[in-house]
Amino acid sequence: MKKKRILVVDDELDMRTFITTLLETSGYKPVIAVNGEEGLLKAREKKPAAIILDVMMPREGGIQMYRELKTDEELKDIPVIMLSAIAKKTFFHSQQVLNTYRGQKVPEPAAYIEKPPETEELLKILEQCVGC
Amino acid sequence: MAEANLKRVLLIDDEEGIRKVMSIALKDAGYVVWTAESGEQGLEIFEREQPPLVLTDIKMPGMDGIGVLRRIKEMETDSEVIIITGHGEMELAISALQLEASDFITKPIHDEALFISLKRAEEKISLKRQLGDYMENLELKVQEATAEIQRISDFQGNLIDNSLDGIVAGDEDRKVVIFNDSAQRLTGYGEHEVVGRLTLEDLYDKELVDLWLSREREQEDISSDEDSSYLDTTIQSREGKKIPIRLNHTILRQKGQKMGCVTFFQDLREVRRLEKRLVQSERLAAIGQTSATIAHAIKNIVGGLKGGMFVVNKGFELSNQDYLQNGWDMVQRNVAKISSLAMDLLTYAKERKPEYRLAEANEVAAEVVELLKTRAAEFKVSLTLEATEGLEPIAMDVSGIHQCLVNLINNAIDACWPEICGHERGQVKVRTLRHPDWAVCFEVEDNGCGIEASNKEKIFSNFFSTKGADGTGLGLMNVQKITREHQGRMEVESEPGRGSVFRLLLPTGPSKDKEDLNENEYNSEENAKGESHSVVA
Repeated sequence: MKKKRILVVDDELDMRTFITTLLETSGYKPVIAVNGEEGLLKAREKKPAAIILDVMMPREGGIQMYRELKTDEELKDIPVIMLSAIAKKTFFHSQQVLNTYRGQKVPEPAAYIEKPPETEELLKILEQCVGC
Repeated sequence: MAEANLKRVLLIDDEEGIRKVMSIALKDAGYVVWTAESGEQGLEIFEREQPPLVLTDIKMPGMDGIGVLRRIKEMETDSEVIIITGHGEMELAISALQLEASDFITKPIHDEALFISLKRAEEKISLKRQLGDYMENLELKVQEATAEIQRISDFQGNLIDNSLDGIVAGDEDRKVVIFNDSAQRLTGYGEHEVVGRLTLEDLYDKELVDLWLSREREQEDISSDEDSSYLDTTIQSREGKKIPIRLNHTILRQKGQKMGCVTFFQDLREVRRLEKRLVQSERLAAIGQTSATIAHAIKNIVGGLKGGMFVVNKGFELSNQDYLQNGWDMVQRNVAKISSLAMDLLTYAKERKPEYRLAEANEVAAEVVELLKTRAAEFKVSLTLEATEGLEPIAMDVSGIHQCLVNLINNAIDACWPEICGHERGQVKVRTLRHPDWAVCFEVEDNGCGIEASNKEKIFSNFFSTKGADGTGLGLMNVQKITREHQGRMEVESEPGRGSVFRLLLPTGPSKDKEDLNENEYNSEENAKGESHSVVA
């Protein structure tokens, strides 16, 4: 069986190392991007089964990348797991504000995990996303 | 009452006829009269009755009028003696007047002359008595006034002595005349060692005394009030130490004439100690308020450590050298992060005593650059030093400046991280430069990611970091703090995407009061422990 590709977008080396190790040792094939721009490129190129996306990144932030993913016909169905130091409540509030402000209706991400992620939790959520 | 008392007469004459006629006339005029036929008898009555008025014949057998007069005057009473003389006794009359007889009348006696004479004597007595009263009153008044003056003087003396302010007054020649308890406590001098012995020049800065003198001359014909502003200076203690004080100087004048001057001062050591404590407590409060931020930073680091442990464990499990290496790197990075956070917090929270000494800017810069070469290499960033030769050594707190440069260069290296700045040719250039307004300029230039305009103002504030979980948000704040202690300046130029230049400008040396602060060893034990290098790895 071919390993499922998971795109990991995070500007922090530690987080990338941790998640890629976790993914590799759990039967996935991680693909790495260090910012939103690169993330979008890799998403189009590698067609990952799911994306683990950091919210706070310099330049193209995770919030912007998420909206671009969800408004791209080709990419909008890839499940996205948001991973961030920002509290879940804050993130969803920011999404609502952006929806109203831009007149867009962007669906909620498949999952939202606050940093630091627990191994078990991340794997469980990932399984659910990729399985469906 | 005095009048009634005065209307009493002792009449002494050996001729019974005269005694009779005169006593009738006197009684008619309202006098109480005693009569005596001889001097001896007269004196007897006089001693008993103490009459204010005595009329005595001058020529009598036994004790004559002169004898009576002499004896009465010897008795130190205020009684007046009028002498009665016959014809051709003018010489006797004159000698009687010399013996302080009040008057003389001649026989045959005319009532008119008698009463004029009596009246004059009465007036004399009454005046004498009034004068006596006055004198007595006056003495009382003087006593009262003296007591009042003493009281006021004691009060003022107490006021001066008990004043919390030091009070030192000098006379026209600036010789010390007042040196109060507070001044004694502060300087360690006893009053007797200073008053009348030392001059203001012995206690205060010579320049300051010269300034007062020139001001006195300028204000010679100005009667307006002195400039009453306070000035921070020092006073010489008995041990020859200079104690920081806040001083006010006033010239004392009486009717426009200079009498001397008085200085009031407060011990600044106490003020400074309190100020210091205030600053420290504010600092601690700032940390308290942001303890949530600290907890958050620690949480992130713990996350990194856990992640690292996970990766290391996988390395063991799968005997995967790469995992072991990556995981171990993570652990190391996060351990470095937490120790840097702890160090930054310590530097920020702790009262750190800067220790100024003459040092070469180039040496300090070279040391830091050498120290961070390895880290720069790890990040594939080239780190170079361009030192300007022949810079004058300047007074600085070397460990503080060292720490500033470590922070600035580490930031520059971080900014050049290829994954952040988007190119692979990271360069950090450290320079020591001459500057027209400053003694030296340390410049740290990078070609990294630069600082967004909106962040430029925030970079020096606490817990602001653009490095996400990698930064403590304390580094530049500490740089700022140390720079301020040096009375130096930080300058930042930056363009997003192109890089930043940080300049640390230092003056020729710390100001004078900083030296004073150093001389006075406050909290020296605490400070000895406060030294710390924060090396961000």
